[in-house]
Amino acid sequence: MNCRRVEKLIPLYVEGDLARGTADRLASHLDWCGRCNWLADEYRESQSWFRTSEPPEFDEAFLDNLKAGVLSRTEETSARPSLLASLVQQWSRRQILALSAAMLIIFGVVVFYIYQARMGGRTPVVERADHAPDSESPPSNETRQNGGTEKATGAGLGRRHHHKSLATTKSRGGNPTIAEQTLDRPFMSQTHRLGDSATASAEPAVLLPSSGDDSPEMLRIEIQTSDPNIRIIWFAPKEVESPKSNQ
Amino acid sequence: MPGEVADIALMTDSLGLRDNSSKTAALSTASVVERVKAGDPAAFEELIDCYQRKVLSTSWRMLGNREDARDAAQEVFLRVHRYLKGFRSDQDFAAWLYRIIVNVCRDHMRKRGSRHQFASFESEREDGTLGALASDEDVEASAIRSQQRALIEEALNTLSTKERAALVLRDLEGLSTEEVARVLGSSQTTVRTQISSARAKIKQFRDRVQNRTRRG
Repeated sequence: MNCRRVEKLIPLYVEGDLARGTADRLASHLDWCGRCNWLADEYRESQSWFRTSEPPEFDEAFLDNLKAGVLSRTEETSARPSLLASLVQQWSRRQILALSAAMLIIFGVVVFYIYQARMGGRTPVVERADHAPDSESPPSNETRQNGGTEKATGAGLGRRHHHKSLATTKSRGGNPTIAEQTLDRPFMSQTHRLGDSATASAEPAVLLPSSGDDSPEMLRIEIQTSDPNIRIIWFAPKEVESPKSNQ
Repeated sequence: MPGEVADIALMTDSLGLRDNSSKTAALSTASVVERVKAGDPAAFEELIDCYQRKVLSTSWRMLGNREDARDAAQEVFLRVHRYLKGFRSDQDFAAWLYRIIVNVCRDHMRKRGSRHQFASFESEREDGTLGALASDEDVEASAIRSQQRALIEEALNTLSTKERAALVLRDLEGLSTEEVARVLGSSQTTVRTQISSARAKIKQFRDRVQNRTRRG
């Protein structure tokens, strides 16, 4: 047994934690090796110093307090009315506050999400179905090509401007189309403002006037839902012109 | 079955876990345990009387201060109350109780984290740890003891949780390596390694303190 091995075993040897054979061999090594013997003495002193650790005295009042605490808590446990109450009892005030704050935040996020979804889903898109096939980009194609927010903001604004000028040209010709009439309707001006804000995820109103005399007199109405990939399209007959006469 | 119960009582007493209070010395641990399991509230009080000092001192050795030790001891007895129905008569009650103590103290250490403070002589005196000190000599002796306790607590804090548990059970509670291994759910080899490492660290700490004292 060499000194290196003995050094590793001394912490166990000094408290009798070694098997008898190993302990005997180590003891015979200590008989002739002064350095290892000195190390063993150091460990013995360290152990006796460590064993001087006495727990403090616990007086009767302290013990009574402990016992009373245990008994009251066991009574509470046995008289526990419900699972919820038991959970609340186990939680500290800080944990309850943290949970309440977390629930409040989750509730706020859900409400905000629902509000956003509703606001986005209500924005209508009205468009003439009878636009010319050679116009800049048909709305259906645009829907397929552009996706998401970009289409709902910048693209929509550009298109709206274009239609407005077209509508003006038509009205100069003295033959106003359905698109011109629809553009003046109050709900359309409202959607125009929504589009300008450039924050809503929904598609702003888009109006395409009739581009030629051969076009069928039908109104194409599109409603952009909160999902940018879903757009509701339907065709309305020409009777849509009737509000114009009311105005 | 009665023979087994008597064996458990003997084993428990041989481990020195029971308090040696005159009032409770005659109580058989096994019979008390059986009565608690049968739902006798008075028996549970007797169980607390039997073991509270030992649970407190072991918790104190594991945690290093009085308040934490009291909280841990309360939790230990609550767990005993909760899980005693699952305790089998052929189990070693002392080992079972030590296991609960060690687990509760580990949980406590985890929760406590870094906000542990050593109990100073002044704080011990304030919270009544030192009891009533009659004379100046008592005060001096108490101060020395308190300082010694703080040093040893500081030394114990250099150990990992597992090393500390193994060393406290082996060297301060006086359990054998086999019993420590049973309580901690480890092999004897693992326990020996932990104990050896812990003793080496304690010695290093003491050497550092001695060197500091010599220089100072």
